[in-house]
Amino acid sequence: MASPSHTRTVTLKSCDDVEFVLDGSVATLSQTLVSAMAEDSSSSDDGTFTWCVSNITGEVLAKVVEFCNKHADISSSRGEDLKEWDKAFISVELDLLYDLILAADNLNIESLLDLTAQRVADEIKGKMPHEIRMLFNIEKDFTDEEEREIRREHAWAYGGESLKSFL
Amino acid sequence: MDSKETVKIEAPPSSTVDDLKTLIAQELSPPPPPSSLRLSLNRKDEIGSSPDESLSSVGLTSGDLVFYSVNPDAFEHVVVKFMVLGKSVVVYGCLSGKSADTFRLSLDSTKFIPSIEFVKRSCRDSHEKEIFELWKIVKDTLCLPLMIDLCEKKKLSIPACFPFLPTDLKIKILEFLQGADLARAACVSSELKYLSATDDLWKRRLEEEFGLSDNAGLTGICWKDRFASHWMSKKRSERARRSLRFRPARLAPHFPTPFRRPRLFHPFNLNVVGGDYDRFPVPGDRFPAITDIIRGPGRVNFVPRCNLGGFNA
Repeated sequence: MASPSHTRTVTLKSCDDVEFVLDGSVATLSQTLVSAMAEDSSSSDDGTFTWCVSNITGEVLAKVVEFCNKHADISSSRGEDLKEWDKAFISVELDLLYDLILAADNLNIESLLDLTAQRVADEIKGKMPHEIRMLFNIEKDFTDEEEREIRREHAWAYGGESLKSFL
Repeated sequence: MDSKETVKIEAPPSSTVDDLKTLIAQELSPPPPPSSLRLSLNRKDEIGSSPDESLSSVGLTSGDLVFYSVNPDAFEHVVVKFMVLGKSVVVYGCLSGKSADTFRLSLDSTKFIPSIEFVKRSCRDSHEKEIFELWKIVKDTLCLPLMIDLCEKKKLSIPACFPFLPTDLKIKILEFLQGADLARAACVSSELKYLSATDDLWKRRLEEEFGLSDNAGLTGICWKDRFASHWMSKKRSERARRSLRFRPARLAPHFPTPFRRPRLFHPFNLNVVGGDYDRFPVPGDRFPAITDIIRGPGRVNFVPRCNLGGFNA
């Protein structure tokens, strides 16, 4: 019989063999871990559970664990303080951000997923299509005709600024 | 190593790709095992994935120049195989080579075949949801993993970038954008244009930015267009308000007396006493229209301008 997930200790192992030990209560932030622990019938008596994440590196997993520890610690994480902390936490370069959003998706941690998605959205905010393409490495795949059409269709979002220079 | 050497081979029309490889191998010194030869017409795509195919069936005709190589990875390609199992169509995809991972996806043919038929007949509207789902499944479970494998095999670093995120995550990111940003994102690429066009996204934008909730009576309307028209009228009224603000003060005397103060939005509000105007206020040439009273000199109640993240046109 598996012990309840919040009383167990969880060992997370990254794809490059870095291990992180989490409190069960911290691990419950991840829906993936919750269901994995519920399904795990081979629970050892000492209540430890090991989970290997095959596609997350130690560097990224360390960030994820840092996030979970902070968010599970109810006493210190409240309201504005937590928001400030999140803001500082997510001020990372874009490639780490993508790794984080993928890790949050993989481990199904909703709060981290929201935070990372919001951060990517913030990058898009206020930018023109050509700037978004540059930043995100996206190829323009419109034909000339499609481009004209799409310019016309979305002209309202550009306000009074000239469209020509932005597409 | 590239050699410019050309070997002329004569093969009977009935030969298979394997026969051709044997013939080529005989011409070379030292002769490599025929199975290790890779053939290509354009140096990119390997021909003859199954060795029993005849030369004509792979598009080889007399006089064709065929490139050969003994490097197994010379012409990298992806093998996709389809298998029909009852109602499911199982698709396997893997890179060429022995140790490649195979990715598999299973599609419910009863679900998608009607949609594909519809698209063929270019009646796109009713099956858009299914087509999108099909596209998403194929992209996220087959194309993306294969692409990552290809990068790994060719020792290219896997690009951690936006196009490589799964579709669900892209949609999630778009959900965090304000309307104007969403519209500009739609102009980036055809994928983003498509992902940002869903009614759910725009319904939510209308709710959050204009406080308009889902109206059950409204069917068959494009929520994006609806958002755009609300956005434009908001911009227009902002412009109108701004131009009023810069009106010179002496032309807009302010009378603080209660008599002159129009009680806005009251039906019997016109500055006329007596006659039928008391009872039947009909805005005409002689009387200021309600909007003129509202916007009248010195009577404008300015709503604080709030920045909804757009451009101040």
